[in-house]
Amino acid sequence: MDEAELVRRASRGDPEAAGAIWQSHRRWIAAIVLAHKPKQADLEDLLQEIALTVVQKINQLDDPAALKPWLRMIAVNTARAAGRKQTRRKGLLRLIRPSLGPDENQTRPETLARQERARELASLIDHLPENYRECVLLRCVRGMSHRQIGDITGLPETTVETRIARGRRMLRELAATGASAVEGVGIES
Amino acid sequence: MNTEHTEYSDRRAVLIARVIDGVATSEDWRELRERSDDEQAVWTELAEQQELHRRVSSVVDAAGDVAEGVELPMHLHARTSPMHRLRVTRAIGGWAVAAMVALAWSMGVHPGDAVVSGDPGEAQANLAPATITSAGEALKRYLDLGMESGQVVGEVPENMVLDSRPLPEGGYEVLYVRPIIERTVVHSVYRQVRDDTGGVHVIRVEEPANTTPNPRTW
Repeated sequence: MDEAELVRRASRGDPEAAGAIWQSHRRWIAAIVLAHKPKQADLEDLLQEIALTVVQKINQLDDPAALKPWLRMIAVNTARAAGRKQTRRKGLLRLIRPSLGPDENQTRPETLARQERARELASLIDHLPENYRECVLLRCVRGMSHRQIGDITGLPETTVETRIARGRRMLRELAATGASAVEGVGIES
Repeated sequence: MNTEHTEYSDRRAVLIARVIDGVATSEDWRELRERSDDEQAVWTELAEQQELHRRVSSVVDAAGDVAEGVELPMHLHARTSPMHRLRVTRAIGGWAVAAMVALAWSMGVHPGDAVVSGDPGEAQANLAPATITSAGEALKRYLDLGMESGQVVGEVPENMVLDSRPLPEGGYEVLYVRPIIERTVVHSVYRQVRDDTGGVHVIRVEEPANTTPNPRTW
């Protein structure tokens, strides 16, 4: 069954069609979330939220050709909204955390080193301009071509290729100079 | 940075990106070699970008693996779910619901205190301490009795995870909020309105005429 037919069925309430759509797109949706989410937001929580939105709103998707941009829009909106929710959660945690014991695992040297490496890389990625970040991360999704990235982002293939190339070059410069040295880096189109 | 240099630099970056992605043509390779005769730095740049790409790919791959574990909650499908009805109600009557709850709290009538139908004392009497031996059991009793009386509408299917951490003795500690939806009835409802000058006023909303409400089924 082709994707257009799957979308039509899903929008009419076919759960299997909706499930099939989700399964074939969720990996790149995760990359979009990574590109836009605040550092502390939990990826799995956000994906759960996106899955819920897809289920609730797929009946509003009239044009099968709009599926990928629609999924991207949900992912971007959910990731950006996470910043506000995160603040609320932190507030709740501050209220209850004192009653719980210390987190011993968080202080182990190997855990700290691993977390530090992951933080460094995340910080480099975070310093990329948003529109470069998305293309660079999508290109890392298994087998995703420039054309497919263009379908998702609505960009021409040549723009996708240029953004990936510039984004990678920028990432290398960030790694060499330290992310803080290039704060406020300009966005090229 | 002048335009000529930007184009030169972009071209080199594009060629390197093609090599990294394994899509460089023989012409691309030839062009990159020509450039590397002038600049050994090209090969250093290629190696460093390849390493960064490998690291970023592993992060994206791990995120994809997380996504593989997330399925669509089809039981919440818009056409069939009772929770959808709740969301629709909230969307239509947002301010009214908010006003009711705010009012109930401001009057000292907490939503949890008011039972819609039946005798509140009866519900409490049924919660005899001797019959409850665990928090889970108590919660189940509360939900059952609340649903029976109409005070509890239901439990929101998704809990909000606040935090999680591995424990030294094994397993993970997960902190979460478990939301339960309650229903109450109040007779005085106020809403906030903004006048032309931006000032906020509170006005009383007329109580609806005495009509027979539709039976609720959730």
